[in-house]
This record gives sequence, structure tokens and C-alpha cells, in this order.
Amino acid sequence: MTSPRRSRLVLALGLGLLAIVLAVAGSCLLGPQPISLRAALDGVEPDRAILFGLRLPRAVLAAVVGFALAGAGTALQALLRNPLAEPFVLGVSGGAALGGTIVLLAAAGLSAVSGPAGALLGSAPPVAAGAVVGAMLSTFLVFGLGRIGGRLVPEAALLVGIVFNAFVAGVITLLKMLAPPDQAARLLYWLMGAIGYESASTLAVGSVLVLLSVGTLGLLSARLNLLTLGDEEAASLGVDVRRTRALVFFAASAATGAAVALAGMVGFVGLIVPHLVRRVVGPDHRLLLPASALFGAAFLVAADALARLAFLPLGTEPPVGAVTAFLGGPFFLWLLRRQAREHDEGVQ
Amino acid sequence: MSPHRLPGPPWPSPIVDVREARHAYGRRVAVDGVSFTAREGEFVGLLGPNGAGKSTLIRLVAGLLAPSAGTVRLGGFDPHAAPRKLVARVCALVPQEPRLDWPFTVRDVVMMGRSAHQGLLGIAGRDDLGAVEGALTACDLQHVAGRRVDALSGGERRRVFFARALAQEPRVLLLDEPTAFLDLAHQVAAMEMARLAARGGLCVVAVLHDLNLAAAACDRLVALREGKVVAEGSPSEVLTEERVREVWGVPVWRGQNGATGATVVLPNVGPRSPAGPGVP
Amino acid sequence: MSHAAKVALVALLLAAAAPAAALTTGPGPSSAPAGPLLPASAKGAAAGGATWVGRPPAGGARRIVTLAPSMTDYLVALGAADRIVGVTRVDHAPEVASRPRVGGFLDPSPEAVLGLKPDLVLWVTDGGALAAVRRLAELSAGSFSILAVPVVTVADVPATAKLVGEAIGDPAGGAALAERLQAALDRLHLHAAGRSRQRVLFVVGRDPLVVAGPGSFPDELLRLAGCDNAVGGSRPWPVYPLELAVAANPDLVIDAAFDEPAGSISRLSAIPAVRRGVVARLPRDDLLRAGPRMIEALGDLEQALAGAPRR
Repeated sequence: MTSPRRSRLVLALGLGLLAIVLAVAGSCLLGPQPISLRAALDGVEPDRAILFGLRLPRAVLAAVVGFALAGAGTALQALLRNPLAEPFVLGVSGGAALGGTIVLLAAAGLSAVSGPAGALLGSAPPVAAGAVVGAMLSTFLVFGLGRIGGRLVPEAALLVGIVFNAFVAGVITLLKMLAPPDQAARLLYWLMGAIGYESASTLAVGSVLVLLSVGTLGLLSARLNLLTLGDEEAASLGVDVRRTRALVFFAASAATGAAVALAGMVGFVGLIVPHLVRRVVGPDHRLLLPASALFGAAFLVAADALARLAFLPLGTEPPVGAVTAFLGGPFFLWLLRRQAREHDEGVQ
Repeated sequence: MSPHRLPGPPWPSPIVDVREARHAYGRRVAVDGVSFTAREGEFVGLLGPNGAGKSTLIRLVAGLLAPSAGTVRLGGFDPHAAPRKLVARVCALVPQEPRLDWPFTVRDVVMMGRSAHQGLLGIAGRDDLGAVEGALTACDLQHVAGRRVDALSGGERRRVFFARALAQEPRVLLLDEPTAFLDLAHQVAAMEMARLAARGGLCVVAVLHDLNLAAAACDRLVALREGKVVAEGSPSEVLTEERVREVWGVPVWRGQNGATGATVVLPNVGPRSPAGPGVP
Repeated sequence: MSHAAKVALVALLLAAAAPAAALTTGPGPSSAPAGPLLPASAKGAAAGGATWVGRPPAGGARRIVTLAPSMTDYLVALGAADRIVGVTRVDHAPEVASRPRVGGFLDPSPEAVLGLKPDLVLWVTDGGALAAVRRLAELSAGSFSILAVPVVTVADVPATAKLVGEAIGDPAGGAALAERLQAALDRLHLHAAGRSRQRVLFVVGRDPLVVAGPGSFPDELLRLAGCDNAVGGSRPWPVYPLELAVAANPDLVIDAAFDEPAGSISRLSAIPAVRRGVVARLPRDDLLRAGPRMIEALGDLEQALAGAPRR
């Protein structure tokens, strides 16, 4: 990396961290209950409990999930050489949700037989593991089926991803029907992408997993640059394409699985954020990946705060997955149209 | 399979050694028992009609494909079995239509050629910077080094990818149709760059369609048809009227360029052509 | 990836779903996965399954937050409605119409609860709010207590009345309420002797047909009243195939689908009882609220059963 590039990286990272801090601070000050920062710092209840026990953990959770999804999205876009790729669209989130659902329902069933065993199975690490395994299997499936003549074709993979999402939705609906009613309701809420009240240990486990997997992607960012040139070109430039692709899949799936285990299916973060960040920072993934991840964290914290603020008068808090879908759906369509238009102009 | 020794000078001669190589895509046999060699300092042209197996052969040499029979040796080792990074230090491939999905700058693209010599994060050392500058100069790209690649003309873009290959500091340079879609001036320039590279000591193998350009620039020609080598030798040896009719199925007139002495072949078409296939 | 591998993967995914589905079709009412706020097995309140976080506030609770409408009903029945400071969004009891809302039944807001500075929080565990309530428990730090009551069977209703009475510092009132509720249930059972044994279909939703099955409150009440539930199987609130309902040929259909107009029951006219007009529409939804209101509404049930022709 040349020295101007290094200073740009430092600048991007600094701004990203600043954005996260601002977003978290803003999120902490927003909520249905008016509280005073001074009182909270002095240890007055309930201000202290609300600020440090509820709002801050929630904001940190949102930051971790946003970090994971934006990082995974950036990597998947590089892998598929297509800016429309991201964990939700490709069905990776869906697979994670399915994996987590299966574990949760198995835990509920097990509870009927043996309470403690059921509780153990339904706790955070097994559910997270289920989500990660689900994410990896679906990645495997989507990238495996998205081939034409043995070569990975991005458009085919995206189509497979969309179909796979529908499949997962169907399976989850079936499983929900078979689930006990209160489980079904809770499941639905989780699946819609609600940032809830995970315990500190859950948050810690999730954060570690996310940092490790996105960190791996960061280490592979130079290779990602080469992969965007095409499999053959990357190979002729010295990249072991299959091994690198497998590593990127693995890391992106792990990040997505952790994010889904923590907050259900939050979509489009991995689509919107890398796209916007790329326009500012450029296509070099050594810069783009860390910047996307950091701004993704800030983005989701802000989106969650927005969701809570907007619904304040209605006395409820919508799941942040609904907000990102609300923002992301039209954004996806706009991006699609823009791509089509650029393609037409290019052909002419 | 690891080589007995790390590849390096002195390189085995011939540096590209293909023997009875065979490769098929499913049922379709693309390369059928091809043997050919290429040496350092040589500019070899691969000729033949569409489907003759030229691109496949290039990819076998680059190690992107594995032969189902026969052997392919690059610098003394098997390019398909060897680690990609190793192969990339020895051999560079310039594809026909390089992809351009992301707006990298010229310097970025050329720097990518150094990844075979760099660590995981691709941090540029002094050697890398030097190699990149050298490649940019050799391809006359210094004035556009900071511009985005998608803002360049077709000819300039080709030079960028050629420069990237040079930045790899390979011993073998493989070019897949370097003159496709270029206008005359750029075609000539491309062939000149290849010839200069060969003069500089690289082994250059290019897949070409234009027989006359090939005859003018290449030291040796290899003519393929339906996966087999039909003729091999100097341009004047390969491009005879019988050979051309055999390989391409077209009657030609063969002569000599008065100014350069290069062999010239021209197809017999037009109102005064003798009767031949497809001629009115 | 080879074709065979792809097929194997899809099969693996589906196969993983199958055992999960099998595991969840267990009999009886469900229990949420255990946590610090829940008993290890599905013990109802009557079996001692209620849990406390903290202790009942000394001197009686003054600021109570109810996280379920049925809890509000108990307090109203005990005459303690004025001590309620916060209720859920779905609570339409007139006595608490002016109280601030703390979120929904499935998604209570711990922040809103904390902001009301309660001394007691009442929660029915048969809901999806476990994570939120657990967080609330972590943050309570002794400033308030939480009573978590699993209400799974009809027997739990009088038991809960007693618990709530003790919780708010009115054990005598709670005991009295419990007795009243139990007496009403006993009366229902007594009158069963004078009634013919009917097969009843209890409908709560028409499109799709959702009925009360084994393990639900209406099912228990019907059996207490000396009737048979026309619905078999093991799910408490199944989406029921119309064919099975027709084949079961109930003697009486009780219509409790309150969000649909009474007339549209004719859509189910494949069922002979509907064709014959042997349908009893319940006047209010109280029978579905597992609390004092349900007991008060037992009269509705008896009326519905009485209106049917004798065999």
C-alpha cells in the first residue's frame, strides 16, 4: 500500500469510528422514556438502568450486526462481481434464519421432554451455531447452483438466492405452524429482524465471532481486489481462486450467521452501505471493506434509532429489519435500474 | 507435485515445453496431442481458424487447465499442479477481453500485477513501485497513470493490461488475441510491444488471427487446425499457399512485403478471382 | 458442485426440518424454553409454578404494572384497579383506559416499565416476552419485584387470584376471589349432570377454520361442563380441516370468532349443525381471557349449551 493510500485508510477508519460513536450516542438519547444524561451518570434510577442497561447494549448490538452485514455484503459483492449481492438477497440470511429456527424449535420440543436440556439447546451458542451452519449451507447451495457450464455466474447465483429465500420462507412458515403458539409469535418477531435484549454473554460471543470473521475478510481484501477481475485473471495473477473463494464464503457466512443469530433477518444493510461507501472511498477493498463495516455499524444503529423514533407516537417499536427493508427495497430496485441503464449505454 | 528446485535462472530451455497435450471440454476435444516449444527471447505466434484450440493451448501453458494426456512444462514445472503464486511469477497471461467492473485507476491495475510478489495485504515495497513504473514507461502510460481505466480508449486500455502483465516480471508472456477489436494503429503498436518484450528476453506466445501481422512480427509460427499442429516454423515456411488452404480452407496469393521483406498472404477474393469456394 | 451433491444438500436441508417438526408435535400445552424466570417444566400456577423475582412489596403494592390484560382483570376484581400505573397496548379494560401503555403483550418495553417506577410487575408467562422481561428482571436491582405466573389450565385461574392477592398485600381478598372463581367452576360442573352430553365444536376463526382443541381453555371448560370437544388431535388451537369438522358432526357449534360478522358462519354450512342452525354465538370474548372475566362468562357458555336441542 502506498502512503497516500495508507493515510486515506486511517482517515476512513477514523471517520467510521466517529460515525459509530455519534450514532450510539444519539441512539442512547432517544427513547420512549425521557431521561437525563446527568442523572444517569450520577447513578439515579431509572435513568441509569435505562441508559446503561437498555439503550447502550441495544445500540452496541445494532453496531455489531451492522458491522457484520456490511462486511459480509462487501465481500460477497466482490466475489460475485456484482453490486446487487448481499447476504439477504443471496439467501444467506434466510439459511441462517432457518438454521436458527430449527435449533429453537428443537429446543422447545426438547423442553417438553427435559426442561434443562431444552434450555441449553435454546440458549445463544447453539442457536448461533445453527444460524452459522444454516448460513454456510445456503452459501454453498447458492454458489453451487449458481453455475452455468461449471463457472460461477453472478446473475444465476442471485436468482438462486431469491428462489432460496422463498423456499426458506415456506419452510419457516411450515415450521411455525407446527410450533407452539407462543413460540411461533416469538419466532416471527425474531425473524422480522428485531433487535432485542440479548444478554451480555450472548453479545460478547456474537461480537467475537463477528470481529474474527470480518477481520478475516479484511485480511483477504487485497485478494478480493484481484477476484473482481475474473477467475482466470485472478489465477494468472497468482491467486488460488478456489481456496480464497472458500475462505471468503466461510468468513462471510460466519459473519452473517452471527448477525442473524443476534438480530434475526435484517436485510439490505450489506447492499446499501457498501454501495454508498464505494462511491466515496473507491473500489480498493483494502479501504472499502473496513470502511463499509464501520459505516454499516453506524448505519444500523441510526436505522434502529429512527425506527424507534418514528413509531414513538404509536407506542411501539418496529423491528429494525422492517425499516431496512423499507429503505432497502426501493434502493435495490433503483440500483437494478441504474445497472440496466449503464449496461445499455455501455453496449451502445 | 513440487518442483525439485525453485524455479529461477538459469531457466530450462525451452522454457515452454508442451508434449502430446490433450484437453477436452466434455466430449469436444479442443487440443488433441499437441506438441510445441517456445524459448526465451522468441516471439511465437499461434495461428488457426476458430475452434482450432489456440486459446485452450494458451491456458494449458498458463496452468489454468490441466491436460488429460501428455505433459505441459513451464520453466521446468507443471503449471497446473504448482502453487498459483509461483506460476504467476514466471508466466503472465493477458486475456482477450479483460473485465472492468470496478473503477480502478491505471496505476492500481498495473500494481495488481505485483501481487504474485507481495504478501497477503498487498503492501507495495520499493521493488513493486519500481516494477510498476517500469511497466508504465514501457507501455507509454505515464501520462494517464492516475486516470480511471474505464475512462480510457480501447487501445489505451489494452496497454494497461499489457503493462500489468509486464509488472509481473514474468519470463513467459502469453497473449490471447492482443489485436482483437483494435484499429490498425493500435494493432501495430500491440505487436511492437510484444516484439520488444521478446527482444528484452521474455518468451512471448501470442494467439493471432491476422496472418500478415503475425508474419511480420513473429519469429516462429505454429498453425493449428482442429486441435492438432499442422505446421510449425518460420513465417515463410508456414505460410505457403498449400498450408494456408489446408488450415484455413481459403485460396491465397503469397508474396513478400517489398519494404520489409516479410511474407505476405492475401486471400483471393474479388471480381477477377479464379473460381474457389464461396466465390461468385 | 456435482448434481448429486446438490440433490444431497437439498435433501439434507429438508431432512433437518423433519425431525424438528416431529419434535414439536408433542401433546399438551407448550412451555417456553426455561430461564431464570420460568419453572423447568410446564407447571401451572395451581401446581406451584409461579416465580418471583424479588419479594412481594412490603405494605402492599402501590404502583403496579400489568404485562397482560388478564392480570388487569384480577386487580380490577380485587378492587385494586387504582393501584395500576401501566398496562399493555392490548388492554381495553375501561378501568385502565387512561393509564400509560408499556408496549404490547409480546413486546413490552422495559424502558417504559422502568420509567413508571413501579414496585410490582405482573406477568403471565404464556407469552413471547421472555427476553424483555428477563432484561427487566436484571435491571430491577431490588427496586421492584416481578411475579411471573404460568396460566395454562383452568385450575390455574383461581390459583392465580390467590397469588395476585398475596402479591398486592391483600391475601384475604385474593383468597375470597379464588373461592368465588372456584365456586363458579364447580357450579358449571354441577349443572353438567342435568345436561345431555353433547359434542361441541368451538370455533374461534372462520377463514381459516381455527378451533379450540385439547389443551386449550375452552376445551377444558367444555369437558367441565359435561360435553365432548368435537376436535381431536393434540394442538390447542389447530387450523382445522373443514372435512374433519364435517366428519366429526358436532351437535352444537359455538361461534367465538368475534372479528367476523355472525352471519358469515354460513360459510361453514358443510357442517350439518350449521346447516340446521344449531349455532350459539357468544356475546363477548371473555371466555377466551383466562382470568376472572372468563369465570364471569361461564354463564354465556351455559346459555349456549342450554339452547341446543336435547338428544
